[in-house]
Amino acid sequence: MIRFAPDGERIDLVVDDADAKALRELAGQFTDLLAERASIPTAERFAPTDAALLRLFPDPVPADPIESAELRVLTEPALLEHKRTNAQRVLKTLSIPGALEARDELAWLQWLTDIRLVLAARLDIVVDGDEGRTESDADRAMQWSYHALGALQADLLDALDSREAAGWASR
Amino acid sequence: MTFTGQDLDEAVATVPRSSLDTPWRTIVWNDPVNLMQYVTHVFQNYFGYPRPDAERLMLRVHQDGRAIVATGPREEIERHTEAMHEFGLWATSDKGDA
Repeated sequence: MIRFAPDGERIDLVVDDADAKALRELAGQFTDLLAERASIPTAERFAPTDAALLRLFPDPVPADPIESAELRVLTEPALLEHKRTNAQRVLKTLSIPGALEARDELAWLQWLTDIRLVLAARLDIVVDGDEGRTESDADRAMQWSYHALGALQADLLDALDSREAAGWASR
Repeated sequence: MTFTGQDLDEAVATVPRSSLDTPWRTIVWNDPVNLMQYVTHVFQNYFGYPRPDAERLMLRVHQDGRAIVATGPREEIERHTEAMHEFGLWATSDKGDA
């Protein structure tokens, strides 16, 4: 069980041990994927061939491949570090649940997106309406995570909306 | 307003080059992953668009497959596109039509 519970101007992360463990594993796999990418020297980081990495780090200016490649060299390291930091924050809050800081809320929102982008790429969910692969046990486990984490993100967005509706200023 | 020749030269010389260029655009593309509620949240909170405008933009992405979410000088647009990538939205920069 995991949910985001509005508590006045704060949002509390409530999570049991089983879900915390499952999420820690996903966050670990995510940081491994980033570490693999980060091990490539910056100047040699061309557009990723892996669909998941390409979705996390898209070509910034596809109409101009040279400009796109130059911009990637300049901006991808900071973008990667941003995503890695989000995962670190998620891990930290899973260890110490309870009231989230504003930057934790943002880290969760963005990380839930990133991890679902990776799962969707692994499941061949490419365009609207794709159900994705369900052949193997691994596929079905990823399907479960993909949908559960989408519901979790909606839960967090609802909590953010209800706080805003209650008149607490956005932090 | 009337410019003398000298004033005009000075005016042109002080206008930043980027504002004379064709504006660049950040385009957000539809994807099957991101929740409509999330995309609206990003447009509202990152760009500061009022909720109804953010929802209209989100629907344009969803229904038309893409929407222009920002226009401006190239450097600013490249920053917006990178910010969209931080949020996991599929965004690109391009040079708008003259």
